[in-house]
Amino acid sequence: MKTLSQIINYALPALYFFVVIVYYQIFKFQKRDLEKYTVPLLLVLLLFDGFSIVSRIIALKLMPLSTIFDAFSLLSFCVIFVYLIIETTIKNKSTGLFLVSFAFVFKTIAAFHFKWNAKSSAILSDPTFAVHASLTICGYTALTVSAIYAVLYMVQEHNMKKKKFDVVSLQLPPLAYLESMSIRSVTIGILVIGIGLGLGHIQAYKMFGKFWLPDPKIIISDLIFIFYFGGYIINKFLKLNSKWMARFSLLGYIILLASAISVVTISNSFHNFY
Amino acid sequence: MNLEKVPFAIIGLSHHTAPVQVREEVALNVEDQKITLEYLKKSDYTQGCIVLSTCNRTEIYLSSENIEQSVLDFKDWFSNYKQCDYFNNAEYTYVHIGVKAVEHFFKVISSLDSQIVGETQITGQVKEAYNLALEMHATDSLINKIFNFGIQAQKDVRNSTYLCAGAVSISFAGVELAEKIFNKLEDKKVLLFGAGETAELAADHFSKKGVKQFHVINRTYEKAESLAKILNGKAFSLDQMDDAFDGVDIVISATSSTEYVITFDYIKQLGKKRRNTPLFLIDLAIPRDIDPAIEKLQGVYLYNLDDLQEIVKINTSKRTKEIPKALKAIDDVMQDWIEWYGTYSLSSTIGKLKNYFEQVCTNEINRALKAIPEDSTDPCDFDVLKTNLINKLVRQHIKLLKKTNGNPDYQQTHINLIHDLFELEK
Repeated sequence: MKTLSQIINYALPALYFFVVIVYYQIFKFQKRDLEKYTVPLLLVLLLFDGFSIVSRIIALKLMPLSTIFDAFSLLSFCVIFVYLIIETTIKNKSTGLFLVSFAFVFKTIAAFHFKWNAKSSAILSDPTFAVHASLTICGYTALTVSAIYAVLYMVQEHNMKKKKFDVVSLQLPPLAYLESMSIRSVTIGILVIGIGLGLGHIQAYKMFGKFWLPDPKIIISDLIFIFYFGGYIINKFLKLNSKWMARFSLLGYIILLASAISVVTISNSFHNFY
Repeated sequence: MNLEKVPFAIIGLSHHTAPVQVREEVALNVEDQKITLEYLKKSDYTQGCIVLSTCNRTEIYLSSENIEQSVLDFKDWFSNYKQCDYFNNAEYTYVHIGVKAVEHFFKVISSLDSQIVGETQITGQVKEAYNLALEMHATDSLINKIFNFGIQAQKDVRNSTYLCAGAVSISFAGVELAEKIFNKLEDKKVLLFGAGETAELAADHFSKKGVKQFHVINRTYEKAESLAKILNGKAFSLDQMDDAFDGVDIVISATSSTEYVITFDYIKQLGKKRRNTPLFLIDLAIPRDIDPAIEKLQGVYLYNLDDLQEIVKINTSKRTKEIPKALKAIDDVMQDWIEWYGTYSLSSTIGKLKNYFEQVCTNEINRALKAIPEDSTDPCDFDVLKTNLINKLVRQHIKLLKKTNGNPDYQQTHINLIHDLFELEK
């Protein structure tokens, strides 16, 4: 199982890259005949990726969030999954290049940084932890999708203002769509991360008798949640313009990524207490 | 299979070959089309036909076993009917016969032969022409099949290329831009500043895209009211500007004013009321109606005639780039059609052969029945029928063999063919 998982793991970035190329051809050269292949390709990608993640979990008895690279890997899977739903729902393939490219980068980083030595922890068999970990990664996926749509919104807004009618401008969906996708994803992200973090605190109470511990990842996660939640509430009541919301979503994501990377370099496991 | 011998032809003239005065003279209204179809239906030379007449082309599609004769017959009739000789003038008229005619039809229906390449109106016009011919029982199996393949060709072109994508007229470019800002136009409110033809045409495009709410503001209130009535909207006079702008998402301005009618200060003030919802302004007037400084405002998108012209230029060049892809799609359908025609032409020959034998047998049996007494039971009486039948059926082969007497190679080919055909011992 471990060998098979390793083979698929190293083959996956190539498969991701292939899908990126297909979307690039559609976006840049408007190859409409390729459009019919995108959904089957995404399904194949998800199938292989899902198998890779599950086989790694079974072979090494790990949880999806055991290391930051496991988190990156699961994040890529979730981004593709969310994008597949978006593409099949709105029948617009023009944002695929950006989301799949993003997933490709994270999948590649993860694939070449995985450690393949088995280790087990008592906490991993706890169902509360499993739900906490899954919800948190789902929440981060939603924030990732929101940040990507925020970037696309800013690019398209700039193009519309400056009257630039290049390939990017002609291919991207309407501003209102990009804006609503970004805001909707942020809302889902805040809600899901909120529940995920809540469960994490319950987990901490069950294990250590305290709802809150001075673990750097807990501090960062809680601060990021407060940042997003605060921004969302401000926008809801002050009705700020779309560009503000896009900038906020992107800034939040940059802070999230920077914090996650810096915290990982400080501690070598997801939470110090494992 | 000789594809030049496909019994299908097209005779016509179009914007490529004839000026508008000529096209006008040969154009056929629905009544004329019916008369033409009626004539061709009765003609001895034509088995099937379609008559297509639009502002850019008049084309007659003919199916006939004697296609050259069918074309000539039509030309003569048409010259008399229309009292003009343009269809006999090679300068204006083109005639395609066989596979070239089929390919031309596919290009026409797919809008590759149109004045504005990729316009979708022509497909509907060809469908209408075909339906009229079908209603009048003027089509035959070959024309029906060519039409079906034509529909497939236009679908393939539309699905596999961007030939029909992007606005190629200024007023429609405005709609396309609005679709780049707003997700759906159905729930958007459009304000028309001015009630002239330009504003009306632009409003018509938006209406076709599902916009239902229109406000019309004009210096002369009566004009605003009259346009608002057509659009099912509300009319406003200039002193009701605030009411006219209430809840508006798109503004189209086309007045003859020499000063800006929509100023920077007004839109800036309006932005506060609108709580940052996007506002799209289209200035179709010369001189301009909308202060260009407005485009600096957040959430406001202003486009003038030059900007829209630029979009049209980009889209036109994009469509041109798609032509090779579209031609490839048509070529693929042509290959399918040729394959189909191979089977069709065989089945047509088989049918004719069967009819021939049936006719021979029926004739000989009828002749024999007259000669044989009604109560005859003598088998020898029926030998006459047998002999006559054999003579009739063999006669054609013998005639063919005798005809090739002077050409030994040709004769040998026929001898071999007969041996193969009837599995005779050599």
